[in-house]
Amino acid sequence: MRKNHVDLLTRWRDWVVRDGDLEYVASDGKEYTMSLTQTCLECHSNKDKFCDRCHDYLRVSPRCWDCHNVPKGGSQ
Amino acid sequence: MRFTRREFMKLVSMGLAGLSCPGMASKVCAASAGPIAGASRGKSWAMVIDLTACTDKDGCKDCIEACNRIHNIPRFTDVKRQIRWIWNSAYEELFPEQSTHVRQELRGKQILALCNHCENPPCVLVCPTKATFKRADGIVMMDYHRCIGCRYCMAACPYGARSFNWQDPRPFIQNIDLTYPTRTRGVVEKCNFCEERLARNLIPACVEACKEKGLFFGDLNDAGSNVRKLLSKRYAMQRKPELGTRPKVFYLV
Repeated sequence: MRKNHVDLLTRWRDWVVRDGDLEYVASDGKEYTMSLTQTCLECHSNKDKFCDRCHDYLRVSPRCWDCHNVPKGGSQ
Repeated sequence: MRFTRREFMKLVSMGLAGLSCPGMASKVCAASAGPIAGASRGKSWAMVIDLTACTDKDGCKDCIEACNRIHNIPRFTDVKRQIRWIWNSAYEELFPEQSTHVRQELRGKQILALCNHCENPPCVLVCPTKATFKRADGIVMMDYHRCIGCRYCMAACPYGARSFNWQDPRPFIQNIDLTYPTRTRGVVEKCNFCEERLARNLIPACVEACKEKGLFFGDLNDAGSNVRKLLSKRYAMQRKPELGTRPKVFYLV
């Protein structure tokens, strides 16, 4: 996940926005709603630790949060 | 064998037509077919605005406010920077070709306008990155991730349904709804027929908010739908039909 979450999120994005699919079935058969803010950050609710810590260390600045809102409790 | 000038021109033009047609045809097809929206295949969403119910109550903005609230639309005082998905405009501005003698009683009235989700959308044709595309269910949608802010679509849209974010909209949104994204500086935005609500089997927010029962939403491909029934019974107008965009927002007069 650390290495490939970029790919996963990009594919989720295209499936949701362009194809209108919302459900994702993982390789273990588990179903997920494809949403960064409502699925990933629902459990990993601390954006500072879940996203920023690693991104800051690697000096990358993905532009997700220019538009997507951080769920309650996190900083923009 | 000797050609006259006339014969030569004929041959050349036939050759050119043959060369350019396949390309043109595929471009038009690509724009009209669009990608496939799995869940909603076979539908064709449309909105019907009953002007007799809507214009009776002057100054009502329930639908506009509902849309602004759930879609995080910023409020700019500068008209040139305004972002609007659904708005009011004078009848003669929305229906310029009909304003002189037809429907005189509507002149000067404020009438609701939004993206027409055209069957044949010019914005989709001109978008260089395919950020604007037409779904199989007819919704003309924007992929903000792909928008490069060239504003070709704004020039192409004959209905003024698109707005450009000249600056970061976030400080100008009164109460940000965290469940829906905002937009960012440098992208164009417009009405999306509430596709995020349709995915949850909800009707668009403007239709739900209308207390006057002036807005209807349904599937044009379903003969039993409320929009089809209304359109078969009452006289309906579309904005600028002469352009051939085939709008899917209908106005009952």
